[in-house]
Amino acid sequence: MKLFRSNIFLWCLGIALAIQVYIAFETPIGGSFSDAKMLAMNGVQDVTPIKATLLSYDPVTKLGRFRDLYDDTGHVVMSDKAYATKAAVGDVLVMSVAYDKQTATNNLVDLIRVNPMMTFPMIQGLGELGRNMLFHVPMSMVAFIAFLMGTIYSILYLIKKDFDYDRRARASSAAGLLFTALATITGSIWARFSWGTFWNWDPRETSIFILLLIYGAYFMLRSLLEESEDKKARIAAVYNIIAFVTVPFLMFILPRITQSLHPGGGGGMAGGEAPIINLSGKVHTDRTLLNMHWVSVFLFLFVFLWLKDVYTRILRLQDKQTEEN
Amino acid sequence: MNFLEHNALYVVGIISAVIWLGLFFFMFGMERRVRKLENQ
Repeated sequence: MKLFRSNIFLWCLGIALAIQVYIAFETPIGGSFSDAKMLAMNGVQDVTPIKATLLSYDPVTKLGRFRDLYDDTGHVVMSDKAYATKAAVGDVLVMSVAYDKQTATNNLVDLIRVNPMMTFPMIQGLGELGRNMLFHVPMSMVAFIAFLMGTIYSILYLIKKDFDYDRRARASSAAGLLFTALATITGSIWARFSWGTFWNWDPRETSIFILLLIYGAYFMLRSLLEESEDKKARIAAVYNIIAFVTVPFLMFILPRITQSLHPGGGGGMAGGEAPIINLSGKVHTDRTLLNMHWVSVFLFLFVFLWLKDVYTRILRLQDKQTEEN
Repeated sequence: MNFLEHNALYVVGIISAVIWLGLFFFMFGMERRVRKLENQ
């Protein structure tokens, strides 16, 4: 693709990626009064970040009256300092609130942000870890697109017998494998903080592991065959098409028919009718998080196309060198 | 693991940044090398 020959485009992509990483971790998470209460009552966490609009403030009792994102009103015990120096009536505040079970009051722990540009939702059971939706989920999506493109190129190779399609199929599948590995790594790090262990053979982890083995075998098969280049490419193309048949099953069907700790897997705190992956096929995720997730998908898609492009060119150069020798 | 648990957000943030920006610079290097070879 000509696009990737432009240095300006590549630097723009790099800067956009850096900005996206920054936004993913800088944007505050803001829940509601009911989140703070529920998490404290269940003993999950004592301090919860909430997002609410300040309706009024009483300097005598130091009580601030707020309306949260579900239009529920609630009171938070603030300090004059937090009010006078940072916030005013009408401001949207993101603050850490400690819910006191005995007195049923919300106490301000820290004022995180006043009038934030955007906030991510407080997904119960995920909390700060919900940010992984901007990395892990887009990576899996791009991996699927990569495998799909690899299969299409393999079919085109079998039809047209043009070696360039074979090179593209190889490059797409290699990039798909890399993205699957990255999705597995980010998922595994997430699991360490969410489930307490890096790997516990959850149905999702098992299915992605099988997928890694299937596509790993594609490259092993290719390098171990001692046939002519033409026959090698044909066998690899057929294997690639067969391998892709398992992808929808491993990526979409298996996680939906088994009980899993994975968000949306029907178990755990964020299970059941969960944000993205659920049986009713509806997306329940907050618009801001979802939109930022699409930005990630878009950026990672360019990274994949670039990766595929560079690898195809390397393969072309290698083949040219072999022909010359 | 105490350090990891208390600084989960920073750890994950740094890992993500390293993965993405590392991949970007690695790709940029590859792109330059491929261009050089293509022009030979």
